[in-house]
Amino acid sequence: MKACFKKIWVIIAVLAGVMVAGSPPARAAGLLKPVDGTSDAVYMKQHDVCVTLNNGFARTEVDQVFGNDGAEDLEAIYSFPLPRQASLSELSLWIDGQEVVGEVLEREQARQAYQKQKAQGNETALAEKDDYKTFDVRVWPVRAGDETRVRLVYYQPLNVDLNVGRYVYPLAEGNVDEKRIQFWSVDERVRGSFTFDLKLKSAFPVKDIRVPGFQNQALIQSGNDENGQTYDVRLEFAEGGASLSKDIVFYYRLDDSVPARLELIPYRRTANEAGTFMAVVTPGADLQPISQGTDWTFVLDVSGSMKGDKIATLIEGVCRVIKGMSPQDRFRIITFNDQAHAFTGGYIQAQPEQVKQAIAAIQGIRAEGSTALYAGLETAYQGLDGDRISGLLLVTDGVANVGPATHAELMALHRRYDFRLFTFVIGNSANRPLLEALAKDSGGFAMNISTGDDLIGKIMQAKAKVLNECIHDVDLAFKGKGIRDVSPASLGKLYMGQQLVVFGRYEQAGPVRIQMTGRIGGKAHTWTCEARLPETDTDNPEIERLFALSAIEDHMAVIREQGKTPDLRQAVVDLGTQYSLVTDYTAMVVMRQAEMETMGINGKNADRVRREREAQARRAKGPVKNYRVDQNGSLSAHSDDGGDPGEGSSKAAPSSSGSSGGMFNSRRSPGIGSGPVGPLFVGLAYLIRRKRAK
Amino acid sequence: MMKKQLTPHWDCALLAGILAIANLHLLFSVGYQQLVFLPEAVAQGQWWRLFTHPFVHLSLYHLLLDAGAFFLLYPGLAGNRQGVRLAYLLICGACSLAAVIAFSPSVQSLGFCGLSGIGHGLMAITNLALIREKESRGLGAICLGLLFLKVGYECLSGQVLFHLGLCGTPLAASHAGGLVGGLAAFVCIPAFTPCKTSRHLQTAA
Repeated sequence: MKACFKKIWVIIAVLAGVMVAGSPPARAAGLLKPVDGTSDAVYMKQHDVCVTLNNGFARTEVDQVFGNDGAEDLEAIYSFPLPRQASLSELSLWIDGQEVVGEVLEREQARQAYQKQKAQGNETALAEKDDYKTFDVRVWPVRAGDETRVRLVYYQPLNVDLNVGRYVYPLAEGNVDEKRIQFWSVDERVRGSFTFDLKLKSAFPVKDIRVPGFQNQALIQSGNDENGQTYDVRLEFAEGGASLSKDIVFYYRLDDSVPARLELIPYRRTANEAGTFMAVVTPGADLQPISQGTDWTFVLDVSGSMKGDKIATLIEGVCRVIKGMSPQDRFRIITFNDQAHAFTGGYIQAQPEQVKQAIAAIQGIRAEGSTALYAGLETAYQGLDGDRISGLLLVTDGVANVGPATHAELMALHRRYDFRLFTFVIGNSANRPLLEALAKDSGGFAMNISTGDDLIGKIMQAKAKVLNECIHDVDLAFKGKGIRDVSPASLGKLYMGQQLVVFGRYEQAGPVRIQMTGRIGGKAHTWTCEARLPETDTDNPEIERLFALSAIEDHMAVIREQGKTPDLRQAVVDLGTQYSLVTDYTAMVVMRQAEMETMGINGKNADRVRREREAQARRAKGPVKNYRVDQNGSLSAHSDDGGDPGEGSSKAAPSSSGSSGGMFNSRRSPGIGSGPVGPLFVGLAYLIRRKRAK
Repeated sequence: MMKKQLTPHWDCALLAGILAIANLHLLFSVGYQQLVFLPEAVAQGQWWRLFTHPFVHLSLYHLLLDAGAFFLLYPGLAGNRQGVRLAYLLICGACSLAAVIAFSPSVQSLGFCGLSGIGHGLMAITNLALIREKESRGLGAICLGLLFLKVGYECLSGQVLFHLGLCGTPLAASHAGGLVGGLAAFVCIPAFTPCKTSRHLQTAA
């Protein structure tokens, strides 16, 4: 059993290592320029990023100046990888020295408006989302010999895993969009300054922060206020030598004493309007180590995008994993590019001689061709031995483009076989929605790894999930008056260290009973907490956008799997326009105020942006705010099997009240392993010492 | 009556210094992640973690208990022979770590730190040495019995007594490993380090 654990984490470790080390140097965020060399005169003069991590979400502001040293006015097209769960909410263009904020329209309408303005020679800008790959921003005109300033803002829910918070500013392109590569080159250079400023405000003690790859370059200042800690990180890149080719990753580690908890962040402008909330659950549950043996199937992407160092490192990594297996283990390898290959034929017992032969064969693998993901998975599923515990590890950096390649087809394939699938997605612009859906549906997990990630940290997080039980069939119910539109629609499984982020709307202020349910090792468990939703709370208007994005993601998941229907499309458009978000069916356009009025475009987003900026200014001046709601109210945790309460809640009766331990009975979110000797032990040591001294 | 004195030596001062440095993070905003035991990091060449991890603690409560027990027990071991004391320390630390790696899979994802495993080993050595002395045999036997009971309970329950949620995630195997290490060290070391009367406790007048 123990040997099995070791194998599993070695496998995870090496695969994560392979993916990080093997990432291609190729493409980046930057200005798109036709490969024929036209528009070469447009350049990026300045790129300033300002990030704030506070109150459970991240705000990223990208302020850019484009220049044109040619003789004609030109269009600038800036493209950057889609950040995970990001809602692009602001696009501002400076016209006559004044900032004009963009408004969201249905995508076609926005494009037409942009083209019309462009044709008339007016200043205009357009932000669109290219599926799961990129956000693209068009700006017209960058006048000859002049400069144009543009600002983007997007929001993302923050994610803390195993007490480690992570923020990624994605810049490295995934190199997966072949159409784009044929027509566009990317100019990722910044001629002038490139700065990155990050401010972290945490209500919980932060023990450590890291900026892997930039640790020596980063200027870091920390401070405390009455309620928490703040950190300021600044990176400055040399003028003329900066490039938007490398992700910037920021980690912060919360203190190991930080408890498992429920945070509830509300927003309600007036008592007459519906409110919105974001609930962040950091569970504290006993998730015991898994003690069963497993057959492992590696499903490896050996398509053309893996060429170069990447495939070499992949080969080395797989060889290392296999070498480390015990003779009782079995493994098989499926590779796929234009088609799938049962590389090892079937399962191979990891006996020394067979391992040696397999390694010799693996070293001959070459990367080329397209990506037949369906064929790869199908071959893997077909060979699984239903009588043994099996796990599939899919490592890919691209998108399916051969054979059945749609979301629906791949989901249907996976459901026919129903085996746990762990997906490791390297870099940006990969088909994350698909790979995450496959993993979630199978009960596995998807891990996104940036090329800037700290390998050891990612391995730790992956190991914790693979090595321990998870909470099955997780549900988070809000029982209060007028609560509706809770999103995401389904939560699935929760692995060790993972948080749960749920949004919803409420019509009435007042008490709400929040109940999390799930099964661990076959036993049903319930955790409850009572909180109060406020009459008004205007501190975090951005929560509305994040709620809308989550609801849009729910709709998009159905569209990807079942196809687009007019109703679903309209639901996305409605959410996108109401909350001013760039989605697959909406885009943001900027033009002169007078032009907007002529076209009947209201200033909905401008109003929203104004409210958000006012709130941001208040928050910047105020102290850190703690939104934990489970430590003072009526709290309980229990199991429903009638026996052992479990979850460290042995003293808590169901629905007990007045506990100050919180929803998870003072359990800590998972921290470093350790344990004190105990006060009695110290007393005994003292007694012995005194006795001997006499 | 002969008065026995406990004489701290350079090794105690050195260990106290390392302990202080490794726990600066409890008072100041400095990192400590580079010092804890993370199997993957060690495998990638960060070997120093093997030696630094016992000195890192996660709260003042954790530090006071572990360091208190350690400095009550450690200086009294092995007469004034620092080499032997350090050998005890290494054996107990190695066994504690080995037990955690072997029996606590979560160490792979969480990491490991703290002196408590070593503390249990030193307590075992101390008790065995007391048992060897005629006048303290009873005390040694009782204390050793209690130690076995504590470690046995922790191993069976998977919990660490008095953890109080202030010391990361409890890894009970570390205490059992330290105890086994202490027993092994007591058995092995005298064979190489002949000494009069008690080989394991301070006996200098």
